[in-house]
Amino acid sequence: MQEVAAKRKVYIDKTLFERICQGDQDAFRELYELSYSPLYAFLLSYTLNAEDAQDLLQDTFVQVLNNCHLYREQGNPMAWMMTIAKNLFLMKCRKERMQGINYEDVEYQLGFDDMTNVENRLVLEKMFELLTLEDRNIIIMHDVSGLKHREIAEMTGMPLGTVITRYNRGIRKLQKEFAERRPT
Amino acid sequence: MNKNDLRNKMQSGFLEAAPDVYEAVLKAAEKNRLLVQDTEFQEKDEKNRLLTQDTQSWKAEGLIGGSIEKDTCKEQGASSKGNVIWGNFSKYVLSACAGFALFFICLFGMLGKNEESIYVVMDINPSIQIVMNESCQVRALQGLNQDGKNVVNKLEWKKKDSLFQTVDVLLEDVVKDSYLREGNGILVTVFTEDKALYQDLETSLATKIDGKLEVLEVSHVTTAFQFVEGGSAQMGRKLLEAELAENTGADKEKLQQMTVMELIQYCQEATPGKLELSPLSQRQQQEVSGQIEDDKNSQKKGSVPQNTKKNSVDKEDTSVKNGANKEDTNVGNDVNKEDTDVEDGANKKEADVKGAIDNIKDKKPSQPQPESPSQPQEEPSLQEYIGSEQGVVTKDKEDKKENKNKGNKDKNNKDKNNKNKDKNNKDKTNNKDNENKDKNNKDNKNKDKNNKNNGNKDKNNKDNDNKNKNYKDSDNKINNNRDNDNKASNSSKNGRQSQ
Repeated sequence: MQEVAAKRKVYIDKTLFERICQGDQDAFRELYELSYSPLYAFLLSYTLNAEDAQDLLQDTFVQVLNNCHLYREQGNPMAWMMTIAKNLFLMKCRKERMQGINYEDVEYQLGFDDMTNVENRLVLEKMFELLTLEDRNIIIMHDVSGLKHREIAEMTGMPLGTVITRYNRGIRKLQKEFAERRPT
Repeated sequence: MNKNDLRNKMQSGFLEAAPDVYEAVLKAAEKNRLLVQDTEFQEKDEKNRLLTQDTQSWKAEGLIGGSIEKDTCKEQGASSKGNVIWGNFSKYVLSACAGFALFFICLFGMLGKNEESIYVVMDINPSIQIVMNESCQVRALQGLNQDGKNVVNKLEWKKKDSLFQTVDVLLEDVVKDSYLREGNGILVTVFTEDKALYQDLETSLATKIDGKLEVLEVSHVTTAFQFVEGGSAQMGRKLLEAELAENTGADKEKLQQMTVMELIQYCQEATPGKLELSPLSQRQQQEVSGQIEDDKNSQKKGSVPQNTKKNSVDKEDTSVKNGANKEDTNVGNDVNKEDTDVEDGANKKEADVKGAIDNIKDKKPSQPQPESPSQPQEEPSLQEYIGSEQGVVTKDKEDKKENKNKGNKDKNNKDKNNKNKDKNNKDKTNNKDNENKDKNNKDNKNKDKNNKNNGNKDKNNKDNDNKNKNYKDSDNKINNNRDNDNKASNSSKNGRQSQ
């Protein structure tokens, strides 16, 4: 496990992809460090299973390496990587549906048991417990990945107003939950 | 809890929860050769650095402008692109192969669509065109006239059905709707460039049609086949009419007014070998021609009293054939010899027929008659087309045909009927004086009709007593006529001439 950072600003330099294409391993390392936790959060939100999220995370980075030459400097690089991750998840769902496995029936295995920080763990658990998939994804994309509401709206295809409303509603739910807990 | 606190806790929480997969990703990248080795990258970096140093020094010396910088950048870009292209080379090759495969599949698909079509036109009265491929799978059916369209609309058929299956259903429908009856003709025209294919089709279709007609109990149907080289879909009958008009000089209007049966007959007389008949039709025609010869014999016999005639013929034959037995009394042998004697006369008659056919070309047609389903109704119309002389000839021919059918049976029954003949002769001799020439002619016609009916019935039911009676009566009548002819030979000759 990585050490917990106090505050993390996600900013990916667009020239990183050019360097990765040229075989710059450091650039790839830099990209990985910046993006692996938001991508994992995003994938965990979809899969609700730590192992599946881990596999998909690995596949996402392999795909990024494979397709780095296709990256165009448009928008946030994180949005591009998240789109790759989402597509990989959808492909996996399709494969498993063909094998007769329904993803919705799989039990939650979020893998938060090993976390040392209890507060952080509580926040994440409540986040997965209280919020819907869409609300949760919007919060992860905004707060963890650092995407702007406009970028989220473009990526998800939802109106900007809807994105903002859902984000605020989700945050309020969590705040309410923790506000109720405090007096007790 | 504050919004920022929540955000921080989420970030730190996911950072803590997220597993480190960097090593695994690197291994996967190495397997797929996605990341260039560090050493290679360092070498490239050094090269680039050297190049930039050189360009800077050259720039300082004022030897070159800014073009080299651009070139080096381009080279770098090309090298990076080259790596990408080379890394994905197998994919490009595969996609190119797939593209070629698709192209060729489309190309062959297009060529397959242009597969040669074979047209089979069946003229009964409804003219129907069948379009099929080389494996005899029907592609389309089309009615070439109004009746044909009606038949096709009613017909239950499917695409890719076999030709024979379709013909089977077609014949059933045509017979059911009374388009095809006894004595009608079927003209099958095959439009193809392959003669061998036509021959195969002809034999198989002929057996199929004959078999089906036997099943449907439609007899005396003449099936003729016509081969046309080329794939155009013209009407088979019209083509035949045009050819006949060209070859024989016959009037096109006359030919158009003919029924299919008449057209086939006329074509066979005018241009023998043009049409090919089905085996059943050929058999029927041979029977008819045999009957004609028998009729000729009977006509010859009519000029001399029967007993004396046989003896005289025997004598003549034996004298001609150098020493054959003069006292040959076998009736069968007698008849055979008579056949040979009459050959000269028959040849003359055939020549007359040909002459009459030639005369058609010059003569105008009489009023057109609608296509009749049965043979007896068609005969007069044919006579009208052909003219009076031709009419006489065809009448004689038909009489001969009918007599021929009965010929062999007549021979067998002759002995049996001798007693009846004697009795009838006695009765008839009393009436001889009262009979006029015209009456004789009428009687002959009536007897001929009876003979026809008897001939058909005898074919079907030989054991039928009633038919035997009629048959015997008709034989007696023929014998009586012969006697009458013997006695009044001059008068009968005059009568025929007047006809």
